[in-house]
Amino acid sequence: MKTKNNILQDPYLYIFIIFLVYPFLPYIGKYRSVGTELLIWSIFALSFNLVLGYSGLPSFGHGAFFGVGTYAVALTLLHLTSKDVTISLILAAFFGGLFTFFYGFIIKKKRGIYFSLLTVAFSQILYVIGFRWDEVTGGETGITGLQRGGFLGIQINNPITYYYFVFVLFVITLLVIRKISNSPVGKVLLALKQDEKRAQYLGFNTERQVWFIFTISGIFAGLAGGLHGLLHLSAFSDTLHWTKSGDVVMATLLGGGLANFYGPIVGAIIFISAREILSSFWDNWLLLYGLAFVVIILFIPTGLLGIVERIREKKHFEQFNNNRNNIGSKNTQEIT
Amino acid sequence: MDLLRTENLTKKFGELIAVNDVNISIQEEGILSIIGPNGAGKTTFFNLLTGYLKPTSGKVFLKGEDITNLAPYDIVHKKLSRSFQIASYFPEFTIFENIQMGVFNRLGYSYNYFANINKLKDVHKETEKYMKMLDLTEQKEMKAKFLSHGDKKILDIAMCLTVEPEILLLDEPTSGVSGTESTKVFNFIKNLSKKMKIVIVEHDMDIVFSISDRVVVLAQGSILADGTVEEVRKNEDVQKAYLGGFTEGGYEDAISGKSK
Ligand SMILES: Nc1ncnc2c1ncn2[C@@H]1O[C@H](COP(=O)(O)OP(=O)(O)O)[C@@H](O)[C@H]1O
Ligand SMILES: [Mg+2]
Repeated sequence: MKTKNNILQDPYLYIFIIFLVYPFLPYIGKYRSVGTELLIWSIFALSFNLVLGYSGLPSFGHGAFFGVGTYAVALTLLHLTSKDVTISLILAAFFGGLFTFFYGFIIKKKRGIYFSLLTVAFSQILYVIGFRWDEVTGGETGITGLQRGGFLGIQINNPITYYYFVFVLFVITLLVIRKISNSPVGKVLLALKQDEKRAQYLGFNTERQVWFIFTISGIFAGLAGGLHGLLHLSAFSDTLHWTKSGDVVMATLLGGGLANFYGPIVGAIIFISAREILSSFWDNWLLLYGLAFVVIILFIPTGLLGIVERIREKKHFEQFNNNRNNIGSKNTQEIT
Repeated sequence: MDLLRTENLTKKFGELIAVNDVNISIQEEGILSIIGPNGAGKTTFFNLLTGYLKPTSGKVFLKGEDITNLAPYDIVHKKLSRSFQIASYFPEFTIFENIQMGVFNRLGYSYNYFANINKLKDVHKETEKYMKMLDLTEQKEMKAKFLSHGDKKILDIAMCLTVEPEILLLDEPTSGVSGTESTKVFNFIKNLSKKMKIVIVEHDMDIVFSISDRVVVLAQGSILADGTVEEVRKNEDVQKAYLGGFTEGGYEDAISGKSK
């Protein structure tokens, strides 16, 4: 019972173990690139959730920062060096962060629908640039036929080594984002999501906090995009299109990112499994996925892992509700 | 020097003049009450003083410094804090966490991305201090949204205290709080006034007249009267504005009848 509780509380070690043995699992293990996609999407969704789930800011253009990372990798491999991916990935994260840094500054004061629309608009600007600027981005045909090279002398050419390479970055990302979410800043984000005015009146510059977390989120989104480019050895402008950003929004919501730190990973697993596996059986898998999304969100608005929070909440309420009234009066009595 | 001063402070919402050319100086001693019918501009006035709204014209000075264009988070750091007419707190956080927010901001952890918040000893110790002071220790792990209405108002005020204000603006701290509870809230406020300047917006005239050293009456955004309790009580304009006049019990009915 006690260990079971711990899994619910903070299951990151179990997640690491599952991904560690994934390539050796019967049946699904042989889909290595699916596993790699899963890891990449988990990185992306976890970073996205700092903005959506933690800060409560509905960014609908996050795919753009993922796409920026993909192009950063593609362009450096093409023009700088194709032997080693280190610089490419650093630049992917750097440009992801640079774009979010500038854009975050512009929209840090916007909230609600204005925030969302501005993120969509920005991703569309990048999409048009990616789509039209043939000389650099390859325009409609994109950039293909890249070479993966090595990483600081380690070969990451074959699917299995690349899987573990991404796995290590996933572990680092998860630990960093988990650290942030347990830090004072993580608390500030949750606070401003609940009542931004209140947070400001406690002395928090919530606009700057939004700006910074948007940037951090962009760094990891860029990294995820870069890893994705390295997986498929290509870059296409449609990753920048705002409808692609919908994928990460849906996955994060579906998994329960609004209520739980690990929601985005659950969402990524569902999304990638549906896209990679379901689609090979049925062309219209999106219909099924869309339906599942609607049903789940109707019954659990905070997503799948929202159930865990719901159980916790119920226990919490029962614990305090019994003596709630007498607590109330007692408390004011002794204040005087 | 005046603690807080406004200069021709005006706020328009379109055609509506919510605060109209208000000049007021607030000194260091005593409790100042601001009264006036609903819609008189009291809350708007607090919003202007604390930077949540920018005035259409006019200025706000805090200890001589022009703070007119500062944001609430900057003004709070200059030790001017305020509570809210509708209790404001973080409903999904426990009571402890609510208080903790203000504490770790004051202790300089706002931009700390890596410390485990539960392991910051100084924050913990300081937060416990407030728990004891408010006698909230027993239910500190309870989510704030489960608190009674009166306790939510107290939590709101307690959160204001975590920034260690020198001036505290309280916006109807007893609105919606039951009779017996409200007396207790007021004893609490009275105690606070020994440590900081209190400016209070209040509808309950009994309380206003019993605790105030100075009363300012706002009506339609302008100052109608400003003086001691006695002066304001006798003021004819004020009596007219408050229909029934300030006869025993009469004013309370008049106010509460008008206000909610
Ligand atoms: N943000 C706003 N936009 C438009 N009108 C407002 C706004 N805030 C307050 N008002 C109007 O300004 C007037 C003063 O409101 P308020 O300051 O809340 O009064 P009080 O606190 O004295 O009851 C009211 O007529 C109110 O409707
Ligand atoms: Mg008001």
